[in-house]
Amino acid sequence: MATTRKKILVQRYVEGMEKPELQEFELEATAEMTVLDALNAIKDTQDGSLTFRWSCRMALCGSCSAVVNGKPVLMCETSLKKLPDTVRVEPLRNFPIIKDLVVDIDDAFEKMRSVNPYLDRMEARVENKHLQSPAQRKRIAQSSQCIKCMICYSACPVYKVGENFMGPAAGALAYRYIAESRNKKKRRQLNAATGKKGVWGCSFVGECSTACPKRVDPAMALQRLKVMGALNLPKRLLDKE
Amino acid sequence: MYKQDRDFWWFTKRPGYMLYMLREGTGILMLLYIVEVIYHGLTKTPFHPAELWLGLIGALGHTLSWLWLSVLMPPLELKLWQKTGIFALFIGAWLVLSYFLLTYVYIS
Ligand code: SF4
Ligand code: FES
Repeated sequence: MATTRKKILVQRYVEGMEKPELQEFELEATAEMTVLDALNAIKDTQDGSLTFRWSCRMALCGSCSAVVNGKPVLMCETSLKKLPDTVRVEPLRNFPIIKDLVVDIDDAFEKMRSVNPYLDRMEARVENKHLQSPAQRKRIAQSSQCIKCMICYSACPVYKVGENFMGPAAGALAYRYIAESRNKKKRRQLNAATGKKGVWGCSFVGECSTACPKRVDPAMALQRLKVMGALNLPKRLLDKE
Repeated sequence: MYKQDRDFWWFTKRPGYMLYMLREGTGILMLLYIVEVIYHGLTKTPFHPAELWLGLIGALGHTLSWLWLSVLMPPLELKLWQKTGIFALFIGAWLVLSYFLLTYVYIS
């Protein structure tokens, strides 16, 4: 089997270090190897302490995201063959590092939870409103694709500085429930997404949609939420809740 | 845990970030131009050629960077983005046209 020699630079960090450092590994890469395969090969044969998340190996679970040569990607769908001879792997930006490539994504999950991403199923069941036409389903198809990989949070330059900004995937999630035909209480999601800790920090850099491996287009979801929020403002001000 | 701060040079790290800075920068130029139009209108003073260039660079740069950002940068299947691009083209055409109209009105 033909192989090419690759230099893999991996950012390492363990609790107690002053700051993360790059460690260099060399590897004989086969043509079909992904960046995730390379890290697993290094872990198996060179350094068992190398730490990173992964699970499905087929771009479905969203665990293996990292910054590869400056771009946030899913490592399991990034082919080594298409990368230069030196490959640099770093953890997702904007999140605190726990160890090596493993970051703490609790804040982003908290922000997703804050938009109430669920339907009131009891009510829907009583009224027999589970039915959805293909056209209604199509409206939410794109924003339902999110696998919570947090790549968009890593790509967003605003998320890190604006503490009150919900971030791209939470916006896409809110939009998905607001556009949902079976949802009879959209105000819950709309108020959460367009409140103080909602969409307003977004300055439409657009990198979240360019980076998203599932083509969710969170940037557009955020812009649509801004319009909905502006139209909803009078109602919101009159709302005594 | 190690807290990652935003790099001071973040805007140089991805082409999309650079484009964003260009979009915002040329947007500011355009705003400046509008202020100048109002100023020269109120004081009946003539434009300096540099001011005219500023307006043109602003209007063209802003339109083109919006177009690039919403049509050419993202993956092609993002149709929603392309709608933004068409909108940008429309607004941009209007901006460039009004730039020429305003300038013509003041020069003549
Ligand atoms: S919107 Fe895209 S990039 Fe963001 S978490 Fe979901 S799948 Fe990942
Ligand atoms: S391992 Fe599941 S997305 Fe990469």
